[in-house]
Amino acid sequence: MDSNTEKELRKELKIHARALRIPVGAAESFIDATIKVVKNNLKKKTVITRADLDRLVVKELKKYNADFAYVYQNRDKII
Amino acid sequence: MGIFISVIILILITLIQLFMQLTPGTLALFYHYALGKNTFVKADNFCLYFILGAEIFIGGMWLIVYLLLSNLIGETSGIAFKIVPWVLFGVFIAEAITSLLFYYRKGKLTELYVPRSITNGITVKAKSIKTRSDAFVLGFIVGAFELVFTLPIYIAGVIALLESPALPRAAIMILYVVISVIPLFYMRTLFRLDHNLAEIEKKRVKRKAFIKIGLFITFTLLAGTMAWLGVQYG
Repeated sequence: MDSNTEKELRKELKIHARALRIPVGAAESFIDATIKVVKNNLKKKTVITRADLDRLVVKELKKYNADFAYVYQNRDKII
Repeated sequence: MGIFISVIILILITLIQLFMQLTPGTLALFYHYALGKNTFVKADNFCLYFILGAEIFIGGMWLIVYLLLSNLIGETSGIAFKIVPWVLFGVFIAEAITSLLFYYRKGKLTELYVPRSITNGITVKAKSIKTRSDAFVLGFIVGAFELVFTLPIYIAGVIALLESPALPRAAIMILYVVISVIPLFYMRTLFRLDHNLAEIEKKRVKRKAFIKIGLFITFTLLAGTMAWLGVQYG
C-alpha cells in the first residue's frame, strides 16, 4: 500500500469514526491497528485491488467496532 | 368526480411520496459524511438546507404540473381528461409491478434500481458537501431523480384538485409538500437522537419488504381510481 492510499484510507476512516461518534483516542488506535495489519497482509501480494483492500479493512475493523466495519463496508451501497 | 374520490387520490399519492426511498437514503448518507467532517450544529444546518431543497423541488413540481394541466385542459376543452386517466392507469400498473420487483437491487442492502452512474454521482456529491447551498442543491437534484415515480402522482393529484373545485387547492398543495418531507425530518431526528448510519441502515433494510408491498398496493389502488375515472369520463 503506497503512502497516498494509506493517507486517503486514514482520512476516510477518520470521517466515519467521527460520524459514528467514536471517541477520538479510540478511533485513532482502531485505525492505526487496522492499517498496520492491512499493510502487513498486503506485503505478501503483488497485485492489490480496491476490493482486496476493503475486505481486509472491514475484517480488521470488525474486531474493534461492528458499526464502524458495517459503515465502511457499505458506504457506497446506501442508495 | 366527487370530493370523496379526489380525497382518496390525494391520500394515495401522499402515501407513495412517503414510501419513496431515494431522498431519505441520500439524506442519511449525506448527514453521516457531514457529521464526519463538520460540527454537529453545522451538519444539522446542512441537513435543513437539504430538506428545504427537496421541499422546494416538490412544491415547484406541483405548481408546474398544476399550471400546465389547467391550461391544457382548458385548451383541449376537457378532451385531455378522457385520455390522461387511462395513460396514468397504465403508468401506475407498470409502477406497481416495478416497485414490487425492481425497486431495490438484489442483496442485503438498500441499493435502489437507479442507474449506477446516477447513484455514484449522488454519493460523490453527498460526500463532498461544504456549504449550505451545496446541501440545498443536492436536496433539489435528488428530488428530480425520483421523478420517474413522482411525476405521474403529481399529475394524478392535480387532476384530483382540478376536478373538485370545492377543495382548497393551495392549502392541499402546501399540506402535501409539508407531509412529503416527514421522512426526511424523521431521518434528521434519528441522527439527532444519536443513532448512527449503521443503525439507521439496518432499520431501513428491515423495512424493505414493507416499502415494496406498500408501494405495490398504493400504486395498484391508484391505478384502480384512474380506471374508474377513465370509465366515468369515457
